[in-house]
Amino acid sequence: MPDINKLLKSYLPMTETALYILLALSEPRHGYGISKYVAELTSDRIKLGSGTIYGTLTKMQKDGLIAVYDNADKRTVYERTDVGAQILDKEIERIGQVHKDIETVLGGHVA
Amino acid sequence: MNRWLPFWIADPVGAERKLDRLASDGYRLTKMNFCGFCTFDKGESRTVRHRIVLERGGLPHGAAERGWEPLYNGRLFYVTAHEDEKETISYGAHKKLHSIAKTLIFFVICFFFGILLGGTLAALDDEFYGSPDSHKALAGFAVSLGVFIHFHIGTKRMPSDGLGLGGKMKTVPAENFIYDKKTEKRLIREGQVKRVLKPGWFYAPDKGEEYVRDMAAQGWIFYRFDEMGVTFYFRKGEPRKLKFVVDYQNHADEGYFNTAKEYGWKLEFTSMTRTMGFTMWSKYWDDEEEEPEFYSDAESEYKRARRFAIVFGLLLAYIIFVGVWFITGVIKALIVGEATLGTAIWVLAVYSMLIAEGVLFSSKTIGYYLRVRKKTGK
Repeated sequence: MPDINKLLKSYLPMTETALYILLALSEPRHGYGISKYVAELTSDRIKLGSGTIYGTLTKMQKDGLIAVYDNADKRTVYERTDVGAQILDKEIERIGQVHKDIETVLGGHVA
Repeated sequence: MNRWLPFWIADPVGAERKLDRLASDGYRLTKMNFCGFCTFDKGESRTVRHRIVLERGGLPHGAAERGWEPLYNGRLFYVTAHEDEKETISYGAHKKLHSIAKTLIFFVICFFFGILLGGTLAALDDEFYGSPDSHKALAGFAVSLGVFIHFHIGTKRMPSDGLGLGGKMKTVPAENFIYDKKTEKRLIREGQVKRVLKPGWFYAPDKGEEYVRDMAAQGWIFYRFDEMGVTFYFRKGEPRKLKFVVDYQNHADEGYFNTAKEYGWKLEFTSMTRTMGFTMWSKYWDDEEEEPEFYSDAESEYKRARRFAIVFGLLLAYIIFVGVWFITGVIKALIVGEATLGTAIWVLAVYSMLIAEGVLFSSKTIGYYLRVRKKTGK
């Protein structure tokens, strides 16, 4: 079982690449599928490069945040693990807190 | 029943076929270890195809849903079987392991070859041949070569990995050879094709990327490398925007190649061994499009440069170590009168060149690393 505190320290605050990959893995997807989903979700604001997505998926798999869901010959499909879900929850909580703090300071200027 | 499948790691396909035969005799695998000791239960005869997957974590859910049967889950690998011939499942890290093992053995062979070379030079005035040392060197050389060939054959037996590398060319995809040899020679003579040799260019990959991009902008369209990845072939055409990327991945697997291909990157070259883990990609783009990026974040780009600098730094250290070792050896031999001046000059010339080459290429790599560090603000 990976040390969750160590992982939290290394992943939080999360890069946009890591955050959107974990979000996209709410259902099993392969590398290019993740990229297409993220581009659609963010209206093309985030376009994950092939090298970036491969590198991040490899690291997350090594750290136990994601796992291989299926590995037919030509395509590796990934899924989020419980550890990945926990890390994502903590990041969502952190983003919520950041948003709340900004609202406190800027008040009505933030939607 | 117990059965031993020795050295299966060097030939997993051979081991899988043996498991198939045992299954048809009614033996179902229950346990297997790295040394090849297997345990079977006797049951009904079955026609199944086995696969040994070198990955941690056991059979993935999706594969199990597709009917792959978990037979044995080990710490580093698992064994699964399927009744349907058409169902596919990856080999996992087998190719990676074979690549790493072959690279290591290659270096061992180079080391012994170095000893033999030193011995040959020393033999000019020394009785190296026939001495116990020469026997040890030859035996070591033969053993490494034997292991290398065994791993090589094992890898060859693995089915195509979907890299699109066909025919005899294992570093450049077959489809990149758009002209046959005769036509290409004629086009070179006619000035329609340009062949440019750039030895050691990949020690500063960013310069190579710029070079191919600039050539395309001038209407010289890159279409292939030679098998060593040092000669560029360009054909004359309309100026185009071409993005050329040199990636350095010493852990690239099928997922890496297939992901990039799905993105529309064209594979130009991939190293035989993963120590030299270069992979080169290209992609055309138009004015209406955004420039394609292989790495969309600075972190990944920086990590690539760092990985590259570390591996080639170690390689250089190894070259310098070997060079210095032989040079000091021959100087010592010269002082005590065991080597002639002629031999010493030979050894000094050969290994000084080796060290000079190492220093030249490493300075290029360091330059590249520093440029990327500055660009990415790391």
